[in-house]
Amino acid sequence: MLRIRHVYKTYQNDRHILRDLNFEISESGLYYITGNSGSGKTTLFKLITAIAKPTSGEIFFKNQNISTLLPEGVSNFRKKIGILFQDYKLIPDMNIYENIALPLKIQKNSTSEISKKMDQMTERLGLRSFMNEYPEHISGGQQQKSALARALVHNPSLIIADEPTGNLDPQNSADVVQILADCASAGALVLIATHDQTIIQKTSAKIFKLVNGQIIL
Amino acid sequence: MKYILATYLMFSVLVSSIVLLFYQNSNHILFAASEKQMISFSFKNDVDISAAEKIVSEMKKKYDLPEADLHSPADQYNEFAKSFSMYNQGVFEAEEIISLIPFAVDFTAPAESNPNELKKLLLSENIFVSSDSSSSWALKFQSVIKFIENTGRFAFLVLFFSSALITASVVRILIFQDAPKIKIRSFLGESFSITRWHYFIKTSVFSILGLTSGLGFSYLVFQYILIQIKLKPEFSFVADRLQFLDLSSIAFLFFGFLTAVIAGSSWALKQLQAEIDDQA
Repeated sequence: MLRIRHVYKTYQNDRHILRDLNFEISESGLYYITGNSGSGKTTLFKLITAIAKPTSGEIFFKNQNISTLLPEGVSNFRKKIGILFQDYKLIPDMNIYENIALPLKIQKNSTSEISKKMDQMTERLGLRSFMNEYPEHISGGQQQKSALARALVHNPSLIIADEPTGNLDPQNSADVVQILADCASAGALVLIATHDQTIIQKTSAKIFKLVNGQIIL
Repeated sequence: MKYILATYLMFSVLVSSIVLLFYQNSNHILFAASEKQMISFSFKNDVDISAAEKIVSEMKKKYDLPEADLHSPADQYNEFAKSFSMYNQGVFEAEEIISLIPFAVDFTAPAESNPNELKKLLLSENIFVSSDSSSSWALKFQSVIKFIENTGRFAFLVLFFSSALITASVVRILIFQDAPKIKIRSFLGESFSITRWHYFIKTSVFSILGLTSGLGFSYLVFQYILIQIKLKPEFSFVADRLQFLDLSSIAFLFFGFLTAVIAGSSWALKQLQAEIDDQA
């Protein structure tokens, strides 16, 4: 399903963030990628989501080479995936409803479809009470959940979550992980980057550890 | 963003159009005679209208002159009275003054000819005397007039192009302020062609609004100045000659600034696209 072959990501001064990275995930499900700060987790996610291109090597998702996609191909690929950013990346001058519905609008869903999917998502994540608020007026935890809702609202087949529990209390963290696990059970490939040891210790999901730009199983 | 752009464009087009109005109207008022290459005379002897017409017709034919405007004494008096009636405090009757005015004629010299040479030839006919009109003054200072005209045109073009360049930069800055939003939409799968189209529509609509308002304001300013001038009888001859911008000037300003906006948007979006595509 996801195949990474000889991937290097090198920044200026020949600093290798990822070096000869190789791994393969053949089935959908929930997977963790752990590692210390600066180990390359965020860079790896940027490559998988086609936000950045590898210096060399190839990344395949469902047999599509992501590293060679042209701009229009990148747009189409991103429509199929859900990204939960570490810093949420909610648009400040849109309210929470508009932020969450944005992927559906970009994918040109009809108003009735948007309304239906938004109802389901807000119910599932318990977001109804602040739908009309703007991001700066809600708490960090609520922003995190809103960003999660935006990543999931269009039922993506690949979900990338960068530190999804970073700003949440233990109960909310467990809720978020459960929601992502539910998506994995429903057939999505979910990759979570985290260094939250309490979550890692409890999970039965497969863990990839990134050390010095390489995967250690 | 859109309101800042509309307001900025409104003031840019207002300033540019007022400068253009000033320049064009200065030319209308001061230098109209120079463009036509007019040579003005008064008749030396007292003649009636039919004799005057005959002489003018003969001179036109003899010297191959394309145009000639004959002015009767009454016409000349009326033109004078329109502007300077206040100087005649009822000392003379109109008829008395008219009887003192000879017929006058303005010949238009062919474009390729030397008006001074033609003037000498016409004076040698011993029919006319040189009239001390604005046209002779204009002929004398034709090179100075042309210089002033070219300088005015150059000053306007410099102002217009610098405004257009600043407009393009303002659009660019405003788009870069939206860059985080554009990037997030791109991460969610929005293609850049849609982003470009979205900004093109948005900037065009608000630019058209700003440009139309600017031209509307400049028209109001023009009308206000016109009314103020008309209120002063000694300047009524100026008011008669003032004109608002013609259609070609309006189109030049409008499409010039619109082109600057579109160029600025394209430039900024192209750079932003390269930045997003080239994060590696």
